[in-house]
Amino acid sequence: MSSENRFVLGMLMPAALFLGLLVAYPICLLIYNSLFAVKTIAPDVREWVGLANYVNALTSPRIAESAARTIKYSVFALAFEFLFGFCAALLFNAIADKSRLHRTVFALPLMVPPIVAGLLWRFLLIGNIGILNYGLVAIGLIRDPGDIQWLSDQDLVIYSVAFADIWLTTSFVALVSYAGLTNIPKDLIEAARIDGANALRRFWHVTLPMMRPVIAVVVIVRGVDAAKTFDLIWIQTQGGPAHSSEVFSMNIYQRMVRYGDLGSASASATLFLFVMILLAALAYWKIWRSAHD
Amino acid sequence: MTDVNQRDIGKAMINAAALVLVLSYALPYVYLLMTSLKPAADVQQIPPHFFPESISFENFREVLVNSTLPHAFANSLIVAVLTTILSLILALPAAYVATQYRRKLTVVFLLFALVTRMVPAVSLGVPLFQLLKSLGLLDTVPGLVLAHTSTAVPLALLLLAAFFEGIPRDLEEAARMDGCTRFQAFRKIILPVMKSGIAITALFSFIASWNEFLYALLLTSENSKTAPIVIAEYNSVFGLAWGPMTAAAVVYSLPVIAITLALQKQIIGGLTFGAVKG
Amino acid sequence: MAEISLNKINKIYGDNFHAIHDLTFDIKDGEFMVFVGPSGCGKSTALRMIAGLESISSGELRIGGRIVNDVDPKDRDIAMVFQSYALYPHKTVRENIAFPLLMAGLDKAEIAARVEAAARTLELTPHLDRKPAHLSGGQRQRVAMGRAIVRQPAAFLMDEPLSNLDAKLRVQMRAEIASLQRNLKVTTIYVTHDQVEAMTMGDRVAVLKGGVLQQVDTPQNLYSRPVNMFVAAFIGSPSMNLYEATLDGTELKLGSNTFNIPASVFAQRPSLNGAIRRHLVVGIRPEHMNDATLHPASAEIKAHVKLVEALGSEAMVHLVIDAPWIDAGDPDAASDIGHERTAVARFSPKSSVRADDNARVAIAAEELHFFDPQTRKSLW
Repeated sequence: MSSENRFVLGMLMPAALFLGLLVAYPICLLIYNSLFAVKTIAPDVREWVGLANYVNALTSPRIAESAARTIKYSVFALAFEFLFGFCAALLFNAIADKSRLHRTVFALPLMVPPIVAGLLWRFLLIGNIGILNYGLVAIGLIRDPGDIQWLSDQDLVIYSVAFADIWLTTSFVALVSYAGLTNIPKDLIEAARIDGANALRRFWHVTLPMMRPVIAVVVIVRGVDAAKTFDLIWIQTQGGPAHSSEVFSMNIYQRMVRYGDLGSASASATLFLFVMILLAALAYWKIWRSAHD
Repeated sequence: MTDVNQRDIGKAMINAAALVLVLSYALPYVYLLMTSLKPAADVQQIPPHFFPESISFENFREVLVNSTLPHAFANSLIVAVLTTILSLILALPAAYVATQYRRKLTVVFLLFALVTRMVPAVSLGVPLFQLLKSLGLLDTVPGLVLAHTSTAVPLALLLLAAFFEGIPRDLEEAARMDGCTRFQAFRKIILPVMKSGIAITALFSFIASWNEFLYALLLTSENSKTAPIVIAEYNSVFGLAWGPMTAAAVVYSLPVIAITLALQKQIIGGLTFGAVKG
Repeated sequence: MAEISLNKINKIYGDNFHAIHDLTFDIKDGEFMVFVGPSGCGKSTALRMIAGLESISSGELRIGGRIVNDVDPKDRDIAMVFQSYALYPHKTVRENIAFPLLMAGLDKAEIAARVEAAARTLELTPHLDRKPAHLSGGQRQRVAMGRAIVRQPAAFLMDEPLSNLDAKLRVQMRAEIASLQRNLKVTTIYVTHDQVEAMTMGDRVAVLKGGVLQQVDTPQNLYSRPVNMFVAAFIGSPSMNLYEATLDGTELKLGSNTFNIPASVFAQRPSLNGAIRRHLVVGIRPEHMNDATLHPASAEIKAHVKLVEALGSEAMVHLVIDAPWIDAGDPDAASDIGHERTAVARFSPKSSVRADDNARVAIAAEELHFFDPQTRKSLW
């Protein structure tokens, strides 16, 4: 081996071994567990069931419901984060050099721990002390603070719990988009202006296409994170009422820890893992790659 | 003239819109602060008031003196610091060769790190539990450090790779011509040049560990519980004790917010650097 | 100080790209050798192999008599100046220059003295405590030089060190580097794509193309006795014009033009003697063509003027000559205007030719070059 190859290997090895032991090995263990009927409390007592856990995972209505809920939650959260974040970036870009203070304040939620965001939003939304409804009454949108039961209405709760997520990560979208916007060469916009494009057309034909890689990154990073969400919802509702805010990761957690059903939960967790990787890969190929060609 | 006026009105509208947006995002956290300063009895008054009628540190005294929270904060701090150090030690050399010595092996390695970023914590939680149990590290600080480092390393790798990308290859070669081995060039020239990138990555690793919830929930029980776990327990145990809870939330989040605001420029730089460069 | 010798050096990359073929020549102790060639010719790769930054696939490299194929760059006792300068941004000028001495383990007093001396030579003394970011391009270039000379190495390697400077500074630094090298008498290899730099600086110049050494010789010999069409076209600016022609006895047919080749040419190139309708390639340098109305000569051709670029001291006249144009293989050399290959001539500024004229062009026939159309080699 050349001295160069030895150097590369030597530098790479510690991280590779570490990730091998603490990521690759647990993934193998997860897949292995998923092929057995096995309880979390007694992982040594196991019975080979082959793919039965997977069949079960793909046919169980509660699992399917939690998967659907995860999609609802992620799409809802991502859509609003994107809308608000992108608008904020455009606004900041429009006021350019005067936007520093704005951006500083806007970045505040960025580093609020998810647990705190969850608690805070629970406090804002909860029952009769949630201040949000009093605010809505004050501006005349609802008549009585009890009109909207954000966290106990079974049809609404999966969207209500996303508020915290939206609040927490809009700034990420905004700041990344802002950086992307400031990276667009000014003369490109000016050339479009000289070519007679109005503001809307300039946005559609110049700004948006140039922002494609940024948008791709945001969609991938935020989409995957939203789909993985656990703590934020856990702290707000623990999946309730009546499982109506139980997303996929929480469903897996409940079956693994509360019901101790390690084998079947592992099958779902394995599916979850591969779907996440697949989605990210797809998004990468579809958006990022084509933007770079 | 009307043209100018219209422009001014447009500008004013944009400014107003930006202000409204920013305020509405800051408001929830301000409300949290205000609530934590209320006397415990006022916290759950109906209808709620935004500002406290009298300032009281009752809630803070409750969580800082009469609870296990200080111990949990100490745990959080130790775990986060160790995680930061360990993940930098592992990620720095690897990210360096992955960007400066590009070849099949390093590309595969970075892809693996990227894939690792996508892995849901809930999938790895229980296998990690089994692994740490067999190592006798369950409910210990080193055990949680290992778990947190497994998520911090991929994050650090990708961030650092973006920073290393901006360092010209010439620098290492010049150092080697000046008498360094490859590793000396890395240590004596490249690392000092990377100072700010390393600082940002350290901060992100620290925050990732400080904020982490699920692994802490699964892998600790008595001795090494971190702050978010204890705060979450408040949530379920004293379902209605909002006062102490808001105080705990403030204490838990303020240090991170303070660091973020202090280093805001660098952090946002790092955040967007990594993201925009893809 | 040392002699550097290359013996059948090859570079083959993993993907079977053969970057350097059998490179063989010696660089004498204290000599200033320039590697020149178009981009991608392998000149930088060759330099990096000598530096030790690039592995050698096969062959033998000796520095000062010692085989160094597998010796680390740090143990080769050579210093290098990079195109980007590669200054350490976090170190001051002083620390930058001192770094190689520090690595060599010299004591503090010795380092300080040598850094001061190098700084004096390069007029960097007032800037010693600044960081590279606060220096001008020219000053950075000097720091890079300082880092190389302070070590008193066996050889200097310079990889296009002036290409990031503006034209004026480049001319000035060119002279400074050349005189510095003459004072220090350290073996130097200098890579450039600029043939003017190569000609003015080098004791000898190695011309490379496609990883193959074309010719190593003194600048004057490269100009007057190029071994093949590529070297002939690459050296000299603007490039030599190459056309297919027929030689019959002493009479040269160039398209519809015919003129006589003087006896001095045949004395120099005996292989042309007694040619009977021999097809060959004739090379005419721009400076060997002139306006026949002002400077009559025995050899004269007619050509159509496509474009005149008046430069004050001379006029570059682009001519269409009705003979088949030949490509020398130098991507930078071709001149074509509106899809028509043209010859470039250097007329005296007094010439009154205009675009679209039909001009009479005087040829300095005793300065013509002749090449074999198949082998592309010079005919001697």
